[in-house]
Amino acid sequence: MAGELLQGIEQAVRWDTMLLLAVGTIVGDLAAAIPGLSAIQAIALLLPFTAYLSPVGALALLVGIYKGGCFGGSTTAILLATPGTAEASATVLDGYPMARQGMAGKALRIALWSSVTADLFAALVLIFGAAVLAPYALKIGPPEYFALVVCALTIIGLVGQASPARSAVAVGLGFLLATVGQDPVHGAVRFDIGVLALTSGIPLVPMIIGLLAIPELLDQFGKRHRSVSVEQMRAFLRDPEKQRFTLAEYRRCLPTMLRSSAVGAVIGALPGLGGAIAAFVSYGVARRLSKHPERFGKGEMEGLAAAEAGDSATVGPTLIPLLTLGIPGSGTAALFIPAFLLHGVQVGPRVFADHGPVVYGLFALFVIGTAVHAVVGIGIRAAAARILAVPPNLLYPAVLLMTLVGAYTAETSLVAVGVALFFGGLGMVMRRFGFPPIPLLIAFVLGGLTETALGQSLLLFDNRLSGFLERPLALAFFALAAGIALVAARGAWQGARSRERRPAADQRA
Amino acid sequence: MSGSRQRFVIALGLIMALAPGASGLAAGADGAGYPDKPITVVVGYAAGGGQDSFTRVLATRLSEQLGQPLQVVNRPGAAGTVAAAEVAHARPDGYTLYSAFISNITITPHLNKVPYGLDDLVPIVQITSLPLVMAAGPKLHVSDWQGLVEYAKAHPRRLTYGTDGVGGLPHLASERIFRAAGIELRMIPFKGSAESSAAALGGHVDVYVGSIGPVVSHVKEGTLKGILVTSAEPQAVLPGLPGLKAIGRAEIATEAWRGLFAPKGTPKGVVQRLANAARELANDSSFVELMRKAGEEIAILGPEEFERRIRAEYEDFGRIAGSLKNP
Amino acid sequence: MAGLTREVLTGGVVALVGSAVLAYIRSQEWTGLALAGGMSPKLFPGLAAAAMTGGGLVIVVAGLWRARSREAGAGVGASEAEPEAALPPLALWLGSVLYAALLPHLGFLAATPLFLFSLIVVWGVRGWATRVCFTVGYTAALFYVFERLLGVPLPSGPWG
Repeated sequence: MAGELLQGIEQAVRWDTMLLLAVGTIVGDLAAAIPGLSAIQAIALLLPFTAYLSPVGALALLVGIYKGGCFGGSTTAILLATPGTAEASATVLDGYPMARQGMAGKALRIALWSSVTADLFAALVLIFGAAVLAPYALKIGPPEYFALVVCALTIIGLVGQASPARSAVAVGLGFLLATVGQDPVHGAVRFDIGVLALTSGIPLVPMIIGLLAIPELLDQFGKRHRSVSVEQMRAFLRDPEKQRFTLAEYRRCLPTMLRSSAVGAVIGALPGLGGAIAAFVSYGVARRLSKHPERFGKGEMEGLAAAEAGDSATVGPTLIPLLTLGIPGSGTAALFIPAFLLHGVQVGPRVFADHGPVVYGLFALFVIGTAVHAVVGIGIRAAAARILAVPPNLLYPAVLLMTLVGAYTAETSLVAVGVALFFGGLGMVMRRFGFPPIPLLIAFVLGGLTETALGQSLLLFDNRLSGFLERPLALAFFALAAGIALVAARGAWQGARSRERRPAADQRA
Repeated sequence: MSGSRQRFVIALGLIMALAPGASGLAAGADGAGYPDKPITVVVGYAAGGGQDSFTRVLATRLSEQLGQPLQVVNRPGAAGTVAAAEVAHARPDGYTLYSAFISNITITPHLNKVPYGLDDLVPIVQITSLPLVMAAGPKLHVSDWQGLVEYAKAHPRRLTYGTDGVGGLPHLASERIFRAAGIELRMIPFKGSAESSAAALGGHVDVYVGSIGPVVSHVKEGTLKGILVTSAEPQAVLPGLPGLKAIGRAEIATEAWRGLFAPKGTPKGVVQRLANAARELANDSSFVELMRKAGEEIAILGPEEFERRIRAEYEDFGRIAGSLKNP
Repeated sequence: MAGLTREVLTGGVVALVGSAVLAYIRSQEWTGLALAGGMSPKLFPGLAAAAMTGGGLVIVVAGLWRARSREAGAGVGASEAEPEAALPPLALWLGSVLYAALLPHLGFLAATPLFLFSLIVVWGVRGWATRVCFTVGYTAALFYVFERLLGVPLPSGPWG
């Protein structure tokens, strides 16, 4: 065991392995920054090439892409409100407002250091928690997933800044759009409007691009005569004081980062949930626990830190069910299976016994990868901030075109461009009439999961809703959700009472 | 003004140079000279899935045989049928091929409206065959087929089985086997075999039916109790498990396959050339070994045999799907 | 007063759309394969459409309520702080739709320069040299990255 451990570490700390790790991180980082591309495509493209590398070398490349790809989407999310990947959607919430306030460099730094912190945390969870977490992942069946999703929805708190009625409309619309395509229980096709591609549902990436990025671009076009703010942003970028992320601020954000890392690690270890949900749930937790929840969504650094940490912390733990059970925790993790197979490694219960050095090498890569991730991140972010030096009347047309081509690339289909434009128009209308897009997005992401899990549960219980009573873990999640809802309701009631006392002052806020 | 026009012309030339080269001369009906340019292989699923990984490995090996690169294009959507429809209506010159999974051709058309028929795609070659495995989870105390049938008869509709989705091959194949044995289990659909195998391991469903790949090590280790494989004969990868012949049901044996298709009207010579190149892969021991580890066996069928198999299967699945539809 | 009409109209339109979707769902005969029981395919879409309808109605009621409590005339709706012109974004959106519609017919290499060029002209980029260089350079860069480097076949149009 000790010998295998050393052997694994020895293979990981070679200079050529480090180089592959760095190349992978750069590739993943860049791929994720381009809307429509993600770590999945990057790995799939490079997979045949990994056959010519040593097992640990191949894994180094993959781990690099995975880590870079989990983080790279945040750059464009912060600078341009264009999340490069679905996982970076929550980063837009506070990252983009920060950039608008002239703190783009600072926002990029917060994102990077939150990601690096969470990444290290996740690597340690992967190494020391695999044995503990794997059996728990199996205890989560359809009823527990359903309870968990209900809990997640409560934590995220769909009723945010906007009026409850408007949020309800957005949530309803999100759930409705999530039901487009085959229903998960009977396979009946719904709302396909005669488009074959829609029978498998609305594609997520074009939808997010459309909903978040396109309305922002359209609005920028609307006020093109007032590009002063961009000038200011550039002036601020030259002002190091505004861009610094101080140690004191890091310390202030650290509890949020660690909490979000824990949330992200647990969600990552459960197959089928993924980084986007982890980011939103972490964000919700951070807002609930914050002393200044009203600052969230307006450029609060803890919100940005929570979103980035929550997403990044899923990277290591998604490999836990893969390594111990052979079940991939995400689409990207699934690609490690062929990569392992190419080198004759069968993941599953016997992997530690049969292929110890490879697994320990992988663990070592995850730790070293954190440092590489930090270094690459510093370099890329320094270059990325210069995007803002491009004159806005060239930058925004270029970004608009990039989002459309990105949407096309995500599915290799013009239907995807149509989806992006449809949601772009919808997002624009929603903005004009005060409907928040984020609840719609969250409801869309979680909607499919909710319907599937409830449908499966009812099949398992043979249509008896009381079946949930026989599942203690599910009941615990429901109880947690109820508790959070109660606390929130009490807070809202107290808030309303204090508003009644001084109605005039509050109306303007 | 003239300066910028000049720049325009230069730039235009640059675009032309980057544009894909004019399509080469079409291959003759005998396939001579084919292929003389890269071939596009369309996959109906997103990058990273089973069909995608399979196609990418196949593409690298086949391009060595054919002397031209095979470019894999993912066109996901509608359970692989968006890609099938596209290839069905592509130019039949052998430079656009479809990498198909069994359900794309012989199952999904019975469940959804698709804009192509069985005749619009010409079978070229079947590459691999993937039998399914039936395995019992930790809470069900049966260890073989006989035990499962007895338990299910004693407790009708009590047992559940998990598959990779409603109307998928594991669903239809299981229904056929269970009905033949006169037992009824409740089907729980999951999103893919990774999730259904996790549910079986966690004891949320009693039985897993699906691809061998995701559960092969669990069946070997005994964390899932293998009951049978759905091919007629036992499989090399799980040698202890009986096939359907051993339980006297060889006639309903079911195996999934992966293969290549071309648009209708593709020259016979081209189809034959591709089939011959694929045949060579069966002699490539590293390819065979790689596929076996992923739970697939190389099982080359040429154009005629492949077409016979597909036609028979199409009828079979049409009957099962019809009997499962809501009244 | 404009704020009130706007609120009531907004809520009314949402409620109308929601109930139209509800009616549509009721009229559909969505069938798939028969499983032993299980949830109806109409349950989730129905609940979602109901939430939309309900939300819309609440917006209408809240709008009317606010108008009554502010009869004194101090009333300024929360949604009134948006004097943005709606026309330019709409025009840009329509332009993008046109571009997407032209893509399959003209091909990426013809439609994109056309769209990009018009885009930077209306966005206020001056100088023919800049306009042309940027248009051609960016189109070529996108084409190179996606089609050549990543092997994504972009729409090719009639020129193969």
